[in-house]
Parts: sequence; structure tokens; C-alpha cells
Amino acid sequence: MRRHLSLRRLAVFGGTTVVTLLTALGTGVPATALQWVALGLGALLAGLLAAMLVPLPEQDEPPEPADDGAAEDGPADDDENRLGRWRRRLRARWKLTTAVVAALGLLVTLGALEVLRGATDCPPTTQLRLVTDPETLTTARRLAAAYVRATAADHDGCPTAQIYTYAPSDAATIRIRLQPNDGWSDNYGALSRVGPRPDIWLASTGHQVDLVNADQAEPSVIERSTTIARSPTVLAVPGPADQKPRTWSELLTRFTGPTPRLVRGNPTTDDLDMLATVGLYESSPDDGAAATPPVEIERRIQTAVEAGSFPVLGDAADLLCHRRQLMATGSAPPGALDTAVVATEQQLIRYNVGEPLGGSCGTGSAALPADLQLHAVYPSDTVDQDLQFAQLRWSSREQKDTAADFLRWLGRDPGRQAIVRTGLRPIADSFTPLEPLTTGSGIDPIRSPPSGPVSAARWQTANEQREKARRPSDLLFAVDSSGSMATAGANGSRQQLAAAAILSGLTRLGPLDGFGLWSFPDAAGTGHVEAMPIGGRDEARLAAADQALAKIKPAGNTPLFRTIVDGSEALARAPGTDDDLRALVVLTDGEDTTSGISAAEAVQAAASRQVRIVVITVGDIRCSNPTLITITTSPGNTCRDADPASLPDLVARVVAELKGGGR
Amino acid sequence: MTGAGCPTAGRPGRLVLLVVAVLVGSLTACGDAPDRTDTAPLIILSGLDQSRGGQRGALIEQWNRMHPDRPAKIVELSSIADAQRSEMLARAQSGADVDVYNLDVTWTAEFAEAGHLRPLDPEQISTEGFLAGPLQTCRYDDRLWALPFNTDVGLLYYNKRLLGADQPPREWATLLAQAARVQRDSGGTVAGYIGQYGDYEGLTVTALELIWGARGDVIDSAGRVLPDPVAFQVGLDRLKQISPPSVPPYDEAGGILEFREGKALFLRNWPVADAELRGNPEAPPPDFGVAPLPERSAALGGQNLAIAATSKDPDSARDLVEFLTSERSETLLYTRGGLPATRAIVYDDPLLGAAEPAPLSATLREALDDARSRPALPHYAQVSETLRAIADGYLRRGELAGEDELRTQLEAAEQGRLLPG
Repeated sequence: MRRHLSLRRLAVFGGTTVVTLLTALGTGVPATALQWVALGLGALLAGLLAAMLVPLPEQDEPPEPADDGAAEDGPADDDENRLGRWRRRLRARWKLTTAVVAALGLLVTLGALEVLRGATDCPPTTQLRLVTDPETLTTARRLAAAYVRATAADHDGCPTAQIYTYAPSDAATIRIRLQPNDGWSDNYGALSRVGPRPDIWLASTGHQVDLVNADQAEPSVIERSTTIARSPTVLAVPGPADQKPRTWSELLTRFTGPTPRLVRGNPTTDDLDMLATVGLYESSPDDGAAATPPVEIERRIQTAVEAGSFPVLGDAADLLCHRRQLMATGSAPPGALDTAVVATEQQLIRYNVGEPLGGSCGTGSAALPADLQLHAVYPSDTVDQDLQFAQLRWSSREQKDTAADFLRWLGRDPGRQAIVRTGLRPIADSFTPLEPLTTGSGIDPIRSPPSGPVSAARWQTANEQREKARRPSDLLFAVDSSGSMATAGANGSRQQLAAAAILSGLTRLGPLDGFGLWSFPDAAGTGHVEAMPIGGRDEARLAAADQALAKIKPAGNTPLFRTIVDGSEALARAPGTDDDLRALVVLTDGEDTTSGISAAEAVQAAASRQVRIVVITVGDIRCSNPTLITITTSPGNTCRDADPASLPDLVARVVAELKGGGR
Repeated sequence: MTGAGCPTAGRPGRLVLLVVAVLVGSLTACGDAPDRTDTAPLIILSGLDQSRGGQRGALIEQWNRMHPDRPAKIVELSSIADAQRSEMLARAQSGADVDVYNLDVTWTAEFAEAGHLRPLDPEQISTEGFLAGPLQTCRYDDRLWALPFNTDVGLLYYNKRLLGADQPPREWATLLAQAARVQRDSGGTVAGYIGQYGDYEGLTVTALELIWGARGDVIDSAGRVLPDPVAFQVGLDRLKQISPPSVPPYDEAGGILEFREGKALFLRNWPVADAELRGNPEAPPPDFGVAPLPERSAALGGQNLAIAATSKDPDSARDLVEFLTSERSETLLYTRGGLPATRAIVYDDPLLGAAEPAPLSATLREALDDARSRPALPHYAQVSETLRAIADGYLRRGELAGEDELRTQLEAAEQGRLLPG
């Protein structure tokens, strides 16, 4: 044993091991236990190899072997002699050999360490962009996250895809950008104003996809669209649901006041509410009696909305949110909590289990106990929401392949389970009901067989009926033209952006609607300038609006409250019937400075004339400003925060919302 | 999966390559890209230009006048960072026509590692005159991948009236005491400190600064995950103490509005908040001052210009990047556009110091010199998301996993892994 030990060998072993360790640590501290083990073993091995080459003291300066007689010793002896000669030669040059072996050991250790480090990192993922409408955003994010997690589970924890999921302010924005002129190309501002160019569009209904395809010559920008899930439209009623088979028409009669009543969201902005409207308009009683005319349906709904102080222009999620708030605050008007809500089964589930509903119900709440839940009544002639997975033609091959894999996964068991977990029903002959798609959420997963798609013609008919049945809207746009509106961004001043947004919004008005244009302040700094009086919406006036807006030059103060009072008076005097919906849409970037009256007085003036106030903030002020809160939290009034990129879409959405309401 | 173009020496294989290089005696050289044969403009993919007066666009117009044969065009993406990153990555993976990426400072490693960028040759490009911090964010794996376009740094805005006779804090312990006093005296109606608390990178930065201020880290420069778990927890706990109890999901703009209305003693925000607060005479803010964040714990932000691996004209792209980051361009971006410059001379030149926004220049320069970079990791986005989830759980629900669990989560994120469940 002592023969193999010497101080020289120990010194070389220690030195080589330490140098290897220090050098390796200099390239980075091991991040895992495995890397530490590799480093330790590598350093020890390098030290051992180097030490083995150090001759023992008695082996110093070994003589070169003589060659004589080697030939007679045979092949085995030849090998042994050759090996011996090599060993002796190496030992003769042991200092050089030791250094080389130590260096090689070091390099091998570093290499092994680096391979281990690299082996622990996941490779880059394929980037997918998914767009959807606001109502479907939560569902889309959950499905995307579940798919990404599934790919990770199949690849040792490393996901193979990453999906950026987002929603612009409304579904119409997506449809407009999917027009044949490639509205999502670099030249049309969609990338900055809307978001990344999508590979997947998760459309809330097949109708959305039909609308895009109808506008396009072959091939459509939509390469293919597949229904991946459905949710029947139901009547969400308080208390136990009477499941006697009834049509929508019969339910409408049953739920026509004084109590209980029935409310439905604004179909002008929400596709799901329009889908429900198709069901309501098409329905007739089973006994062959005449169907209720659309005008009468809208009138009854309008009465129920106002009686329950529900948001007049809100969608189904807003109505459910309002109900949740009424329950939480105990401030419900008589009969309001008895009101039934037309919603999709998924929306009903989200309400019952306490999920966020958007708007002022942006955060979740506790799940409701069974006795406080809404329960689904399934009309015998109901219609289904059919969620579409649309793949866009412009994607690259890699992204198309990954999107296709996502779609395949949604059609298999894990994907179907992910769909069920969102409260939707998968497209399958049968499926396993999982939370929350169970009776515990106020629904019955056995009821309501698939209704089949709603054809484009049925949508169009209902749309036309709805347009005739709704109240005309008179909108007065009041644009802040104070000095701060001259603040310039990359795409122009706030005033220029506001003007462009209003022009875009005007195109959403129908032929029966009217509009006017004001700016504030006037030269005196205390009033307004009438750029265009309130009048009809025709091509000549739209052209005139363009010119009038271009003439507005920012300067002066912000007489906001005075403008609200004057605008309310002007709207009250405007031509039209008492039935018209009248609204003052204010675009501003600052607080009132020179009105000489209070916010409360402005609110009172508008309310007394049944004028709604919608404030859109475009700069330094936000809806959280106490003054604006005073104005916009009064019944019927709202406030929206905008930035330069979102302003046009937001104004368009506000205009669309203001077209709601029955006569 | 990775983009075409010049091979990159990413972290996993760099020493393996080195060994091969030493033993074999050769390195694979990056081949020259094909010559540009068309007259299409150089494409810069960038987030929305939020400079005052659209100064980035103005610089591009200048370039185009100077180089009519090699014009450039900015393709503007969303102002939301995640949306920008998604679009840039998707285009890089599809080999789209892009010449220059305007990358957030935290994306350099990811894009370089994936082979989407062309490294800059130090012999062809000068890095002299850039501030050290912003320039460091352009490096990854010992190579230079970009030049710093504009920088950013977390600053401490303070309400002078609420602070009273006190000086702005230089230490977090002092800030905690001052915040507690104001919260107490106001009966809880005034917040001590408002950072960014929404579910986006803002919360990551806000939490990181407090963790750094407690001498802790998430992943240190040596790649160690959670090197000091106690400091990590101290930082988060301090943040919880000084933040509004309900932790509203403020973004940068939301925080400014609260501060403008006198509802916070301290506001953590970027330099642009100074101009935003002073910019509207119709809604004047309370008397306020600006100071560096305590104890050199501010996070560095900003954007870097990098050349796409797929660029058909990398030489022109390099010229364009150098033009946009030149002293003159940086001066214009700062003095006219309000974007903090990446070159020292812009802050040091007394002539420029007299120009707007001079009042902030000295504070800004001090803060930039002391600022810290977020970790340069290929999977930074996942690390950030994980840290955010941890911070969110602690701030809003008081939940904080044990050290082992935290380490497991962060190690997995660093590697780009998703843990089951």
C-alpha cells in the first residue's frame, strides 16, 4: 500500500483536484445536486489520473529497456513490453504527461458539467397568438393554459407551445380586421391598436365565422373552423327550476310582469345576447297561438330591465353582475331578485360558482349556496352557442402545425375535460360531467340536446327585426378641446385621435339614429361650440362631421359640467320621439375648471331630462377621479378609460351599446 | 424551432463548443448573409412609440432622408410588452422579413439563445460612451447582441407635504417608518407606497426591488436560485407593509393618478411619470420630489436594438442601429421625446443639462448608475411569472410556500419547465 503513496503523488492529486474545482466554479456555480456530483467526481478523477502518472521515488529516472531478445518473446510478451515501454516513457516525462492529463481531465469535467447544465433547460417553444372576444377570454385562457400544460407533461416538464391570448374591446373589431384587405398586415395599425396577428381565433359563435367568410372571395383568411364546444341558451331563474317542457315564447309569457319578469342583455354589442334574441324571436307557443312580435318582446324586456334597475345597455354578464351586487348590498328594488335572466349555461355556472363576470365584477366572489343560486330552465326550442376554433391562413407552417395539435388535443379526452372545466359542453356523443358542469352549479348536464347551428339567414332576420324593434338613439358628442388636448403622441394629438375615433363611431349608427357634435370650451372659456346640431345620420352629415371635427383647435379651459348641462338641454329639445334613447358622449382629458357649477348639479340636469352620460377619458384623467365618479356612477351613466391605441374601438363600442334598449 | 441564420453559442453548449474548438483547432464561422437585392425598407419591429411628439418616427424620417436607397420603416406593435414579445417571437420563428428588433431589456437572452439574433462584432461596432448598466443588458453569454436604445429605471416620487420635514429616504427601513407614519396619521386613507401590483411585469419589478433592497435575490449572477431565502421573505414582507392593504392592481398609469390626487406618500414609477405629473396644468399634482429608490435597489428597464438573424441586409441594419443609438439620436430622444438616454454624455453635457427635462437629469443619472438588471435568462418570462405568482400570493393572501417549494418553483421556471398540477 505504502508503495503507491508518496508525497509527490498526494501533492499532484490535491493540486489537480483543486485547480479543476476552482476552474469549473469559475464558469458558474452548479445549479443542481447532479451538477455538483459531476463536478466533484470529475475533479477527483482528474486528480487521480494525474497522480497515477507520477512515478514513485524508486521509479525515478527509470532506464530505457534494452531491445535485445524482445523478438524471441512471442506476441503476448511483445504487447507487455510495448505497454511497459510506453509506461516507462511516460513516467520518464511525468511532469509534462501529468500536466496534459490534468488539463484533459479539466476539459472533460467542464464539458460534462456544461452538458448537464444544458440538459436541464427546455428548448424554445412555438409561439402562438390567439384572439377572442371579451366574453370568451377567460375560457380561451383556460383552454390555452391546459393545452400548454399538457404538452409539458408529455415532454419532461418542457412545454412545446406558448400561447398569447387576448381580446380587443369587442368581437366586431376582430371581424373588421379579418377582412379581405388583410387588415392585420403591418400597414393598417391593427398590430398596435388591436394586438398580435392571430394564428387562432376562438370565435364565440359560428355566426361570427360566417360573417367573415361571407365577405371574402376564396380562399378565405380562415383556413378552417371547427366547433369545439357548445353551451345552450337558458333562462336563469331564482329558486328551483320547473323543467316542464316549454318554448321560449311560453316562458316569455310566464315571466311577463308584474313579477316575475325576464331580462336579456344588449344584443347590439354581444353576440350571445343576439343568439338568445334569435331564440326569443323565432319561438312560438306549442299550442299554435301566434308568436309575440319582436317589438312587444323588446318592450317587455325594457320594462323588466328598468324595474330591476338593471344596466340598460349591459350584456348578460353585466345583468348577472348587477344581480350579484344587489344581493351583496341588500339594495334590490322590489321584485328585482325574482327577475329571470336569459344567459348561456356557462354564464349561469360562472355566476353561481362566483367567478369574475367582467365589468365591476372583475374579481370573483364566494360560490353561492344552492338556495341562493340561479337555476337553468332549458326551453324546448333553445339555441346553442357554438364555440369555434378558427385557424388563420396567414400563419407559418410551424404555427399551423402547433395550432392543429391544439385542436386535436381539444377533441381528445384531456381536451374535452378541459372544456368541461370551463363550464362548456364538449362536442361529443357523451361526456363525463365534471365540476363545474354538474347539478351542483344549478344546471342539468343531461338536458338540452344539441340544437345545431343557427344559419346566417336566421341571424340576419333576427337582426333586421331587432333593428326595427329597438329605440332610435340620439347621441351628442362633446369633445374636450382645451389646451391639454393638443398633447401629441406618435399618432397625433389627443384631439386628432378623438376626432378620428368619433368619425369611426358614427359609422355604427343606424338610419333611424341621430347625432350632433360639440366642442368645449368656447372663446369665453365657459361654454361650448356647436360644431354640428343634432340631426339625422346621412352621408352628407357624416361628411360634414369630418370637416367640422377637423376645424376644432385645442385651446383654453375645461367647462365640463356646464357642457353637460347645456348638452342635456339640447338633447331634450332634439327632434325625435320621447321614446328615443338620448345620450351625451363626452371625450375629455381633464377635470372641470371653469363651469362654476358642481358635478352633482350636472348629473341632476341630465337625469331630469332622461339623458345618459358616457364619459371617455383620453389622457391625464381616469374614471377613478372622484369628480367623474360622481357623474358616472349615477344610474344610466358610465365611464370608460381609453388610451390612444384603444380609443377608436372603444368609441365604436360605446356607440354600439347606445343603440340598445327596447321601445 | 430556432430561426435560421448565424449559429449561436448558447449557454448549454458554449463550453462544449470551446472544448471542440481547442481540440480540433477550429471554430465554425458565421457565414455571410445573402446580399440585399431588393429595395424593400429595413423593418424595425417595435412597441408603440410613446415618446413625446413621436421622436422615434422623427429619427426614422431623418434616416430615410439621409439614406434614400436604404429606407427604414417601424412596424409598431402593441404597447403591452407581452403582446410585443409574442408578435416578435412568432415572426422570428416564421422567418418573416424583419431587420431590427426593439427588444425589452429582459428579452435579449431569450432571443439570442433561440438563434433569432445576429451577434454584433465588437471589432465593427463601438460601445464607447454607453452607460454601463444599459449596455450590460445587451450582452448574453459573453457576446454583444444589441445596442441600448433607451433606458429606464425605477424612481421614488414623494409627496413633499406628506413627507414634511423629513428627507427622502436613502434606506428602506427609513421608508418603512415614514410610510407607516403617514398611513397611521391619515387613518389609512393615504397609502405609504404605491408600486405596480397588476398581474404583469410591473409586479415582478416592484417585488424584485424590495427583495434586492433586503440584500436578497431570486436568481443571482452566478445562476443560484433563491440564494438568500430569508432576505427574499423580508423583501416581500416589507412590500406588504407599505402597500395599500387591499393591494389594488395598479399599473403605472393607475399609480400616477392616485399620487396626483394626493393619495400616496411614495410612488414607485419610471422617469416618464415626472412629465405625466407635470404635463397637465388643468390637473396639477401635489408638490412632489423625485429621488433614487433606496439602497441601490432600482430595476433597470428600457429597450435594446438587435439585428434579426434573418435580416437580408445586416450591414445596413447595423448602420441603422448605430444611427438610432448615436449621441445625436439619444440626445433628441431624451430632450424632445422624454425617453431616458443610454449615453452618458447626454446627462453630462452642461448645454444639454439646461434643456428639458433637466430637473430630473441628475437624479436620473444617479439612479441609472446604481440600477440593477433583472436576470439575463432564456426563460426569464417564466421566472417572472413565477415570481409574480409568489408575490401575489403573499401580498393578497398572506401565503408563502416554504423554502424548498419556492426553490423548486423557481428552478423549474429558470429551466423553462412547468411543474405538474
